[in-house]
Amino acid sequence: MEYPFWYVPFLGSPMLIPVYALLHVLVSHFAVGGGILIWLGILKAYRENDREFMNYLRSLTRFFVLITVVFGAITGVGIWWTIGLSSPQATSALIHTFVFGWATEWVMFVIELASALGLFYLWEKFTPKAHKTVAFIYAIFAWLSLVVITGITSFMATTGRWIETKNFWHGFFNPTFLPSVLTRTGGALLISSLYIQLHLSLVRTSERIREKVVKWITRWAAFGLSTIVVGGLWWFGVVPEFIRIKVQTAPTVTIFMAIVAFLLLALSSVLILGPKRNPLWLSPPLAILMLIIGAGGMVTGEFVREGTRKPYIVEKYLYSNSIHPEMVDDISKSGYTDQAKWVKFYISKNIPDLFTEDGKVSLDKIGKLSESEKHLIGESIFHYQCGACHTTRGYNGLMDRIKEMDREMLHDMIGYLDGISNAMPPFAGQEWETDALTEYLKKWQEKEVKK
Amino acid sequence: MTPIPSFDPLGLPAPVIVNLALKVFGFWVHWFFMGMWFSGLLVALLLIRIKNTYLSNAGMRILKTMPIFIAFGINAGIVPLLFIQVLFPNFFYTSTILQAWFWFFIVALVLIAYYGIYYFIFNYEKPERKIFAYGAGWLSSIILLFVGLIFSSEMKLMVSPDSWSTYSSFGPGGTLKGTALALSIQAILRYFMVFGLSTVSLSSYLLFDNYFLKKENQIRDEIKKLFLFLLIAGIVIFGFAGHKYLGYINPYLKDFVLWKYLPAIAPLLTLLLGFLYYKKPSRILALLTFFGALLSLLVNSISRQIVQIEELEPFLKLKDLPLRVQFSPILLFLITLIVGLFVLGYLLKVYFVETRRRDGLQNS
Repeated sequence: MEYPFWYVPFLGSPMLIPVYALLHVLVSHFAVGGGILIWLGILKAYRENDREFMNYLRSLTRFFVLITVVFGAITGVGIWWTIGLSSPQATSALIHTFVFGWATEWVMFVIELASALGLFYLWEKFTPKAHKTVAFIYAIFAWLSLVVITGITSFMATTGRWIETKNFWHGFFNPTFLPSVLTRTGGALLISSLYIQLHLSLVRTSERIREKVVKWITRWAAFGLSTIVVGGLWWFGVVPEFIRIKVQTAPTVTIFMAIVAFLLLALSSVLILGPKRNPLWLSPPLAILMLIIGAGGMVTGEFVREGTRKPYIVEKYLYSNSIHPEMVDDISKSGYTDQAKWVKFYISKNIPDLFTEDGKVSLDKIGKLSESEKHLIGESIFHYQCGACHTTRGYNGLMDRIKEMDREMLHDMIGYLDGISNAMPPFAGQEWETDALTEYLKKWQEKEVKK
Repeated sequence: MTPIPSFDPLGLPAPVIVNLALKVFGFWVHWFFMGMWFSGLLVALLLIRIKNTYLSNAGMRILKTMPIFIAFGINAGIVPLLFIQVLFPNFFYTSTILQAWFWFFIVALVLIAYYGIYYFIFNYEKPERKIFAYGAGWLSSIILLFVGLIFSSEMKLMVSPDSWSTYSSFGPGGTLKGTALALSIQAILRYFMVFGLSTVSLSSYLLFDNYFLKKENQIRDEIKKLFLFLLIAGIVIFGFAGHKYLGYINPYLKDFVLWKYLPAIAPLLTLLLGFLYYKKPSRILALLTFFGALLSLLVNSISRQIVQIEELEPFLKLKDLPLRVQFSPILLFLITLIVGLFVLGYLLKVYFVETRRRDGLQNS
């Protein structure tokens, strides 16, 4: 409504978010779980006075810091960068609600960074006490930063009492906060165990160390898996009714849920039959396979989380197309063209007489719009109101969905979007704007048929 | 003129002055680290090819510390970007969308540059990979210099809503293609002002490193000459670009005394301290010069903020923004910050104590 919309052909700008987000999810969970496991490993190595194991942990820490500190930090900024470009209004809402949550997380991240670099550069210089303390500092602050960020991401799906009070804590401690923290902690331990198995398969170590590390790490992978299951079930029990219905009825979400369940099951089987029973079987291909399965599960889980949130980008506060639910009625009275600033700017440049001198839509002109003018208005409404989720022919394209529809069906569909699918927001606009959008879709459908 | 989005209805979570203070503080810290890769990487890559062993070692030392500078620089950069979104969301987001593709690829470019530097560090001393490592180092430097240009463009575009229509390249239905890069003369001059002061802070960091981190007496004479050269070069670039920039800004902006004099006085004070150090090197003068450079960055961070507010003044009155103060989250942040400072203090203590202990063991 307020901001211009960035046009990305074929994909749509919101689909650029996963470019950084999915990479970040895989690395940031390693940053948390890996930190915890390295700390536990250091305690174990000192307790058992195992020099060789400690040397292995040193090599692991080097691998860990190179991946997490660089990649995790930069892709984290990348997500924020991209959501600001594709959904500025939602990003602004999150920033104005949680900026001090982010600032708190930033302090934690600085400590994480300092302690991770300390472990990297000072490993051999530490006394045992300092070594254990610095590893603990890293682990606890990494986990706390996961807690803070989870408060914000879970808020987007379940705003809880915040919607009435706009209170930071009501938003932060939203209904899915605790189950999400549990699930993400489990996910962090699981994916880190898989990264460590990959690392172990790539470096030269004695059979004793290989066996010891695999047995140790597989237990944590199993713990992570069970925590994900418990957290996931808890999450399902507390989500709002509209999300629960969507998980059960929306085909894409249901399929993705099934994929997550299947991948978790597959991973459990591989872990039990492979490394747990026969630690020496661990080889780079097996470790890569397990990491791919784990990463696949995690990425699919993120898609489920995002998918269930629709039609909202922030539950009950903002629809995916950046329209506030309470504004829909108002827009239907005054017109989308009148209220969406950049749409109005663009149309007024191309059809100057559509607006009167005081900037209102001219009722006289509406009845006299030519086909090309209707097309232009419809095209603008399509991109600004539907473009957050749909493209014309690319990702989530409309062509396949509407190719059989006649003009009347298209018109009726636009007026009843939220009735057709529980993932769709209602159309916000006046009758003549529905006509213009119908005109645009029809023209474009005819063009496609001709091709 | 293109429309300006309305301010966020949720309002400011803290008074304007608190947001501004955090934004400026964050930018100041960011600038110090960013200067190390912006100017420092370029200088270090040149230094390592010099035949003088002391200077090439100094260059190598900067390069080996580069991952730490970048990690902390990116991290510190989060703070001003957080608070710019709090204070100026409607200007910031719109201008980033105008140049969306460049903005989007910054992250990928920085990743390439970062790993390029690691590639350099791990491979430069291997004869068979030396040339590739050097190439990776240069690629990283060029990328980071280019990223600086994108930021300059963004910061100028953000405060110039009246130029948005010039840079609006429309796609279908009035969407934006996001292909603008607003490299006006003002943006370029601001870029060089940042580069100049980054070189000043790099020069003083060399002294700090040599006195407080590396502590090798024999290379101080060599570093001394390099330090003075970089200090003068940085101030000349800053002064020239700053002087030219004054000719392009609105006359009323020149009336700000703080903006007009202090940004120039602080680097000149650093130059004076630098000359004194050059004539009679001492630990205290090295430290004072380092603080002089930090002061120059701070004063310029403040003056840049003042100019930013004044440039936006015709479109935005900060005092009129809705306020919804979040006391307990601010308190949480402050408590975490205090705890964090203690933890960082502990980590620094561990670093110095453990390094000293180890050095003592080696000497004995």
